[in-house]
Parts: sequence; C-alpha cells; structure tokens
Amino acid sequence: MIDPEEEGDDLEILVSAPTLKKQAVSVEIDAEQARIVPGTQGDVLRVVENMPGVARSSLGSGALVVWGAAPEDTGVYIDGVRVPRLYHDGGLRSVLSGDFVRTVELVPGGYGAAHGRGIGGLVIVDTQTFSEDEGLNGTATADLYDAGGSLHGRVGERLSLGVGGRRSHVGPLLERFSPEVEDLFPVPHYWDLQARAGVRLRANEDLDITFLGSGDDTARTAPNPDPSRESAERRTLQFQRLYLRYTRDTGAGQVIRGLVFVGADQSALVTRYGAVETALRSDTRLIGARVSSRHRVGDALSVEAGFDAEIDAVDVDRAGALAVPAREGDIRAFGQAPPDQINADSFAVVTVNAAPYAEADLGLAEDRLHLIAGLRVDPYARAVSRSAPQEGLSPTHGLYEQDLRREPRLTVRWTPTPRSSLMAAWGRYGQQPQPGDLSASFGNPTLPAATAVHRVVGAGLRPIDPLHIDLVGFSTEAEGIATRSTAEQPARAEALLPIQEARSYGAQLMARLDPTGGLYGWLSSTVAWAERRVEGGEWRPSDYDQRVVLTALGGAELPWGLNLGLRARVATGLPRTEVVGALYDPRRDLYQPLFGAQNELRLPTFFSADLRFAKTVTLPTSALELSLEVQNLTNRSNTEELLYTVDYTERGQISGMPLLPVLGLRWSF
Amino acid sequence: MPTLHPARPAGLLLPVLLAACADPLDDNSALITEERLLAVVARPAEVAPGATQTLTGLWAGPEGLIGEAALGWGVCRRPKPLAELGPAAPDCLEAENSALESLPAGPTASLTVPEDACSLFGPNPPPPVEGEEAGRPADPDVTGGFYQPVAVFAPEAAEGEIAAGIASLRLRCDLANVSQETYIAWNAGYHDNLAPEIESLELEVDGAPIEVARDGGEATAPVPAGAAVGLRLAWPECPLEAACGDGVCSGGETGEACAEDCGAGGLGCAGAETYVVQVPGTDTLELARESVSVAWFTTAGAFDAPRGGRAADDAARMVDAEWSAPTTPGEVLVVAVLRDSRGGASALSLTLTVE
Repeated sequence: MIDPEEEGDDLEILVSAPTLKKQAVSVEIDAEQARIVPGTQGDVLRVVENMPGVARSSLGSGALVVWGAAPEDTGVYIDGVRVPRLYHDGGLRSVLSGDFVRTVELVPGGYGAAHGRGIGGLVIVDTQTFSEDEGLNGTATADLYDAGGSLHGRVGERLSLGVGGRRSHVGPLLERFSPEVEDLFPVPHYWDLQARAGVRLRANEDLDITFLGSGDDTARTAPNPDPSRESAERRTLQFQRLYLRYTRDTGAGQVIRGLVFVGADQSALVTRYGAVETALRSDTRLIGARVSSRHRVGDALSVEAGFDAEIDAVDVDRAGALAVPAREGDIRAFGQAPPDQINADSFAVVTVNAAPYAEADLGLAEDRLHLIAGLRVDPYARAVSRSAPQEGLSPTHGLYEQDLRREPRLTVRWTPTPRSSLMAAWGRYGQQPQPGDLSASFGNPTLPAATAVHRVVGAGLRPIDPLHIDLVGFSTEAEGIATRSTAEQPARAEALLPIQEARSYGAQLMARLDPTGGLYGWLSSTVAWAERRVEGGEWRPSDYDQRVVLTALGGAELPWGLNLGLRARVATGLPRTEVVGALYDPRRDLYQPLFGAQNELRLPTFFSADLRFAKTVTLPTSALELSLEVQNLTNRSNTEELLYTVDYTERGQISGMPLLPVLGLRWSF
Repeated sequence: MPTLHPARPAGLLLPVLLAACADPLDDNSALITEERLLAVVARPAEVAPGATQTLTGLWAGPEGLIGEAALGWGVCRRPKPLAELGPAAPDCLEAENSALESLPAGPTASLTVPEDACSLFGPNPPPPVEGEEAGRPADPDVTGGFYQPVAVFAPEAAEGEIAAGIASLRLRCDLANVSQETYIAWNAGYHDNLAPEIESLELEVDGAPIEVARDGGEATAPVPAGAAVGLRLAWPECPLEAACGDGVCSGGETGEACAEDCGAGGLGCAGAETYVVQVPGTDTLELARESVSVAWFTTAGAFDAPRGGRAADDAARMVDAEWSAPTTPGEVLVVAVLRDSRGGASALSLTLTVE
C-alpha cells in the first residue's frame, strides 16, 4: 500500500493503490518479471500461484484457491472479459501466451464495485496493445511441454497487430513413443491462440479487437481384467472470446472505457466405471458489455459510473451417477467406486447479470485519507427450462428466478506518513449458481445466488527504500451455497439445497525487495482457515482449507547475460477424511470405505525448492535465451494424494514430481 | 506407508500423473486371512415385493468355508441419502439398529421382501411424510435395477457393530415415468434375472489338465507345490438374439409371441442374458446384455488377478486366471464367485491338495 504510482522499476509489484481503479488489496506484477520467476517454467500467469492468499493446489489440478474460496468462486478476467479458467489442464500452463500479457493482478477479496458475479477473488489480466512496438517483433519458445510463438508489432503509425499461440507436444510425443502411458496417466493436450488488431483513433483514444481461444483434452483409462472395474475419464474444455475494446483518456481525470464481447465455452467431463458412464456436458454462448466513465469532480473527488453485463445461455446434458463429479463436502476416498444408480437430464439455462455500478473516491486531509464508496446492483436473473424431472411424455415446464442484490462496497485508506499506510475494506458480493447444479434431476432448479461478505484490514510499511512490507487480515462469510441434500427422502428436484455456509479468515504478508543492483525477491505468506457447515450445523474444515502457505523467491541478474532465480515453497496439507474401516458390497464385489470425522486428516506438508538458470545470447537483431529450470531440487517425495488398497486395509500415497530438469528455449526478435 | 513414484521415463515426461492410478497398491483381497463374507447368493435372484427369497451367505476363514456360521441378517428399512456412496443408509450398517428388521441368524435366511420395498428403494413414490413435499424415488442402476439392502453381520455381532457386508437384492418393480405404451412393452419384454451358474471349472499345470474329483458337493484336486495353476471358469451360453424355440426367453421376447419359451414365467438362461431396459431420461427401451465377472478367493497362494470378467459386448463365456500354489504342502481352499450385472451370483469352492 505504498507508493503505488511508482513506475519505471523493472519489478512492479503494486500492493493496492489509492487511485480509483486499484483494489483495496491486490498484488500486481508485470509480465517481464513474472516470466523469470522460478517454478513457473517461464509462464507469466503462473506467477499467481506465488502470490499471498493463494493456496497451493494439488499437482495436476491447476485449481485456483484464493482465501479458501472454491475455485469456481474466483473470477478470471482478461481485459475485463471473463474466461472459464486461468490454467490449462494439469496447471502446467496458463491459457494466454506470455507475450500478450502486460500485467497480472490478483485481488483476493474486498474489491470495488466495478467487479462482481463472484464470491471469491479476482485475477485480472491486462494485455499488451503492441501500439508502442517498434516494427515487427516476435518470439518462439519451446520446452518439454509445448512450443509456441507470437508475432506482433505496429503497422504504420496507427495500426497494431498481434498473433500468438502455443500447442502442447507432451501428448503427441507419448502417443508416438510410449502410447501405453496415456492409458494410465492423464496427459494434457492443450492449445491456445490469441489475435489482436488495434487502431489508435486519436491521441489517447484506442480501439482494438481481440480473439482468444483455448482448448484442452485430457483422457486416461485404467484397464482392469474385470470390465466392471475398468475406469476411464475424459475432460475437455474449449473456449473462445471475441471482444471489441474502446478507451479514451482525456488526461484531465476523465477516462471512458467500453467493451463488448461474445464468446462460447464447450466443456465435457465424462467418466466411466465399469458400465456406468457419467457425463456432464455444457455448451455456453455468452454476450456481454462493460462500459465505464471516470470523472474528476474538483480536487478531492473522483467518480466512476459503469455498467457490467453478461448473458449466458447454457445447454446442459447430465447423465449417470448423481454423486459424480464430486463437490465440496462430499466424503470419499481417492479411487472409490462411484455409486451405480443413474439418472439423466437435458436442460437449458439462461443467466442474466446486468449490473449498473457507481463508485466515488473522496480524498481528504491533503489526500492522505481516501474514502472509496461504491454500490453495485445486480438482478442475478436466470431461467431454467425444466423445473421438475421428466415424467414420461409429459410436457416440461420451466421457471424464472431472480435475486435482486444491492452490493455496497467501502474502502478506507489512510496514509499517515509517506512510508506507512493503513487500509480497511468491506463489501457484499454475489454469485449465480453453477448451471449444471440447476438440473431438476441432479441438482435444484430453484437454487438462489450465493452471497458473501468480505472484510479486510491492512497496513503497509516501507522501512527502507527497496523494501515493502504489507500485512493484510481478512475474513469472508458466504451463504446460500449449494450442497447435497442429506435427507433420506429429498423432495423431487431438490438433490441440492442452498444450505451450505462458508467462512474463511486469516492474514497474509507480502515483503518485497525492489530490484536493486540486479537483485530482487519477495516473501509471501498466508495463514488462513477455511471452514464450511450446513446451516445450523458444526463448522468443519473446508476441502480447500490450507492453513499455511509460504513462498520465498529471489533472483539476480549476473554478468554475461546470466540470470539466476530460486524459489522455495512450503504449504501445509489439504484436508482429507480418514478411512476407518470398510464394508463389503457383495453385489458389486466392492469394498465401501467407512469414514471418520470429516476432513480431520491432513496430507503431509509440502516443500519444494526450484531453481531457474538462464543465459541470454544477444544476436545482431534478436536474442536467444536458454533456460534450465530444476524443479524439486531436493527430490523430496511430496504426498499429493492418499490411496488405498481395494479393501481399504492399507494406505499408500501418490507422491509428486521427483527432481525434474526442464530445458527451455526462447528466441525473441 | 507405501509410495507410488511416477515411473521413469514417465516421471520425467509427466508431472501430471495424479488421479491416474487404478488399484496401484497390491490387491490382496483374494487372500482369506480372517473370517469374512465372500458373497451372498439369492434364490430367486429377482423377486417382486411380497415374494420370498432364500439368502445364503458364503462365510469363510483362513481354514476354509464355515458352512454353519450363525450370520446375522437385517433387512434395511431406511432409504439412503443421495450423498451416500455406499449401498445403504448408514443406520442400516449397525447391528441392532432400529433401521433394521432382523431375520433369524444362520448361514441362510428366508426373506419375504417387504411390500413397500419399491417405494423405499425403487421407482415408486416414497411413503408420504406429513407436512413435506413428495419425495424423490430412487434412481435405477445401469441395468434398470432397484435393490433391497440386507445387512449381513458376523456371527454374534454386538450391538452397534458394523455389518460385514450389505447384500443388495434385486427387486422386480414397475417401470415408472414412462408412457403407457412403453410400460406395456417393458412389462411384456422384461424377464426376471436368472442367476448365473458356473458351468465348469478346469485346472491345468504346464498345459496338462488336472482332474477334479467330485464327491457330492465337495470338489478336490491335487496340485504340485509352487506350481502355476491355470484355471478356466465357464458359464452357459445365452442367445444374443431372441429366437422362438431356442429354449430361452430372451430380453424383448414375449409370452404372446413365443409361448414356447416365455410361457408360464419363461425360461431363463444362466449365462449373460439379454434384457430390456429404459434409456435413462427417455420414454424408450433398448435391449441390453449382462456383463459377467468372476472373483477368486483362496486361503493360500496367490492369483495373478483376483478378478476377471466379460463386458456386455464380449461374447466369450469363460475367464482364465492363474493361481500360484504355496510351496508348502497342505489343503488350500479356492472359491470362485460368478456374478452378473443384474445382481445375480453363484459360487463354487474347490479344495486343492498341495503336494
């Protein structure tokens, strides 16, 4: 929370800022610095996993858990356009080429009125416009996982163009040399593509059109001599976004922004255990717009008003076992056979979010005290094509629901001295139910929008010039979250009920060293509790409850184009429910585990040290960077999951990556 | 704690190998090291509420089958919550729980299926509860089946002790949520499951067959110590397509169209039968075929794979396994349990004399 306007440093880490567009608490980093952070294999957006407030996700999951919120509660926005994910399957890579990224900002909570539709945090990616490029530039990259490239630059004085993309080659390589591996392990196949054309209409007035596309296809099969025990899983997700963005900055405190977008998502998760196939497929078309105008009213007051709308039309097909896929609160063991009772449902959902918002920033006491008050109003409207399970040939009836929500937000920031600041924020947030949960057979078409309250307090200190220290305490409470009905005879169309509550609380610390003499580094730490309960019940640890995460990283620019970086991470284990026995199911010839207290067992603490070493060779008109990243330097056997023998009499573990060297090549011109 | 490390070179190429491993720890479930339930055999294999079934628990210990075990039997009277992954409501797992209706203890039990079984565990609307909305019927399994849970307890189980197993007995319930036309077609074309039967069990060592001596219900055979014994278990062949006069009332075949095969209850087939089933979420029926699986158990030695089977689209009607005989002489029990995907089961035990 100190000197956020400082620009020009090689490392730009802004932990909140007093201007209206900045959030109460956030960490922002520019692409160039993010790219050299060890442990990210040069992927700019993977720097997010090093930021305070972010839990370490299990290897291969790529889930983004911020302040204990479920991954689906944290929104990912690229230039203001929501995308369904930040990372490709497996979490190896982000969905956007690093050359298209200008900055990435994590806002774990307590954000302003300009954003909504989520009860967790925000990841805001701001992309390059390429309008400042000199001529044509580009990069080509390749490493163990994928290869990609980009080409971008300015054409004439006003036009800028950019195109980029990448494609994985891990899967194709294995298919060629070791096809049996893919029978056992989920090898990610992914691609992403970006294209942009921009035009500078006038000085400080820009218009650009951008296309983003991404695809993932991950499959595995676990063969078994008994076909009733053979399991398989395939998950696919493609998304496309096309958006037109307009920005005008008059330079006199007035900024006008406009954004319209269309897009589509196609996702499928198909699992099979024996003859029981469970599928969740959804096909989403979306359209949205975001406009805002910011004005300065006198010396002390600036006001922003805007409108943020998104309409999603989703066709959902669900079939198979009710309890698949697993959701938060489900008690199960890794590898446990799903139930074999099945159902099917096809339905359509239209969700409408059209939120006007306004925010005022009042600067007092010679601009040392800022009061930022905002209000956002969102109808959270939705229509579901089927209100009850299908019965024979009877016609189906739909339903329409809305939850008009007023979401006030308030931030107070005080900068008593140039080297210290204090901050507090409070806000109310909401989130539509997941479309797949609105099934009359598998969920509940009448689920309401969930709500949450965030409370944040923080302090910033700059004891000496290159060192920034920020400490933030937080608490969030959410209610109206869908969970499975535990009733013996639930009512029809009430397989899910909005009766789960969530809370998280804790503190995060970020200490960063600005680049000085070629050195940089930061220490981020989060101590947090994330809990859930059914209304009126006892609180229990959430599935996402990771109590302590500590990341320390640093690097140095050495002579002769050398760069060295080191990262160390410690994270306490995620909760699991202990298996205390087993019961034989003679019909299916399966053992069913018996469980102890929910989420009272913990995976062992994770530790990993990663090293990145790079050498840049400057060529006449280009540069070649050769990097070696060594992950898990100590070759520690980290437990990523617990697994059991078929009769649950013995417990083992799946350990994570061994020491893994990854060579990378990047040619830029 | 055993650890599964990613095998190189897969470990080098694939850091993303979680959620991937199927049964990666040694599966020793075929070895009988303590008293346990191996199977529950119901005859008939599928009945309507009000009918009577005979249940036989196959209870074994390290010394062999325990034929006169005083097993406890409890008929579950409580539907399971949707979130429950197991075969029955948690209350139905505990001995002496009020959710259970006890049957006389013994190796077998005679069960008259409760009249409301298709409401509690089937497609019929659950019994109304005052002040509450109409409840949700149970979902069928992939074969269209609904099951009455019956808890099986170890002999002399104390109050609160967890069941050794939950038998699920297939119920003949009506088809719900379909048009009258579809119901009529299903009612005529669906035939109760006939439990699979073991047609033969053949043994060989190094390609030479081993003769199995049979004396009443006892089957014995000699095997060399430490030998790799091949076993082949076969079941009867069932027609893949209905044909009047083939001696089997196949799925979709009706008594009206073929009284010869389907009259007076119909003639079942003790192999992989065909049957008609509703396509979930639709008003249509399709013809399906049972899959068949075999589980092996032994008191000594080891099987290469403790389970095998044939998928519904696999016409073969036998399964092979290899059993490694112990190196020390003595008598060893081998049990094979044959199951079909509609909940039917039968078992065969064999005493092998290791010489």
